[in-house]
Amino acid sequence: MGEVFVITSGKGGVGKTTSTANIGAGLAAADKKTVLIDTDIGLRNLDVVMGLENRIVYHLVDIIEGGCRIKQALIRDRRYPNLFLLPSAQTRDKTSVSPEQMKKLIEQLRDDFDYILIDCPAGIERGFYNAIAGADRAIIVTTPEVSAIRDADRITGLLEASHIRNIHLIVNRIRYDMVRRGDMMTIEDIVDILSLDLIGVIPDDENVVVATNQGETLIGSGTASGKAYENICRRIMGEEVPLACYPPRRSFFFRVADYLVHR
Amino acid sequence: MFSFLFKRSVKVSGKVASRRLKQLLMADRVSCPAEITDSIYTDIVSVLSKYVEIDTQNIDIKITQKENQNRSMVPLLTVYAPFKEVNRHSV
Repeated sequence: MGEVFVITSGKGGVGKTTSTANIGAGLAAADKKTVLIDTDIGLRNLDVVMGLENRIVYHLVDIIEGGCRIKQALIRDRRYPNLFLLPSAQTRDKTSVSPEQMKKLIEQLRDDFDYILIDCPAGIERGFYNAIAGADRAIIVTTPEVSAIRDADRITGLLEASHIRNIHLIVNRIRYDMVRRGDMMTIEDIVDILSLDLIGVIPDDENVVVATNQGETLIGSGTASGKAYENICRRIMGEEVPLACYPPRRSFFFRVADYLVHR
Repeated sequence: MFSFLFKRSVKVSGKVASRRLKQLLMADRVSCPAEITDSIYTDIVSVLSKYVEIDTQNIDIKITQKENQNRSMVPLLTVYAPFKEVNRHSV
């Protein structure tokens, strides 16, 4: 019986799709049979981020409308044999699917997979309600910026109102240099403001862009963001992985030098 | 020459963000949809206007937070209503 996560944020562009792809790959690499579902109907992106855009034959709406069987729409990732993608439709809109239909689909998939990750679109309209319909748990992705955090808070309220109480937070694109200078909110502040349990912190990493350019994930790459995603996967699977410490506070000498350089 | 000692206190935009967010989220969470806050505003102005002439240009109604005896934060509706004169005919 699989665990179903919805990966959501409210705000667009904070890293939901990237996180869905990387967490999915990490779980699959750990021998967990995982399916990723792109519920952003009309603006699909999970396929592109994973480099599977040329292998789409059927999609989510085809299944819902009875145009194909589930197995026909699932795309198996060649790099990770345990990883499957259920792509979204590009030429339809969010009214093509209802929350009840999504719930039914998830129930059909549950027995075949260890993990089901649902990539939620930005916003709080129909797309959001479609995405959360079948989920047991939620992961909210935010960046350390006021607008993202505000939206994350709103989303938390909406999830709780829909009876999803098992909610964890990913803080994405943290820049420790800016945090040290006081120019970016600290993780402690963000967690305190949102009152959510943290499941991972991902540093701002150019390698994410490079990976997406190539349709690759960062799992196994040895990069900072890759390691952060791997740690998130381990926590999902129940392991206690301490959050990486902040890079240690540098000595007075370097802080003065830092100040003189950045002033 | 020692201006850098004072400039340092300006460069804490991170803390400014935290402060702003705490206030903002409080108002958001009390889940007062805009229609309700607008109705509160209209009703308060109309009730007060029965007794005093309200300076509607400078009235300020907002939702903040206050610590109560149990040291927990409770939402608080604050109304600042400067007025010009008491309405004689209402008495």
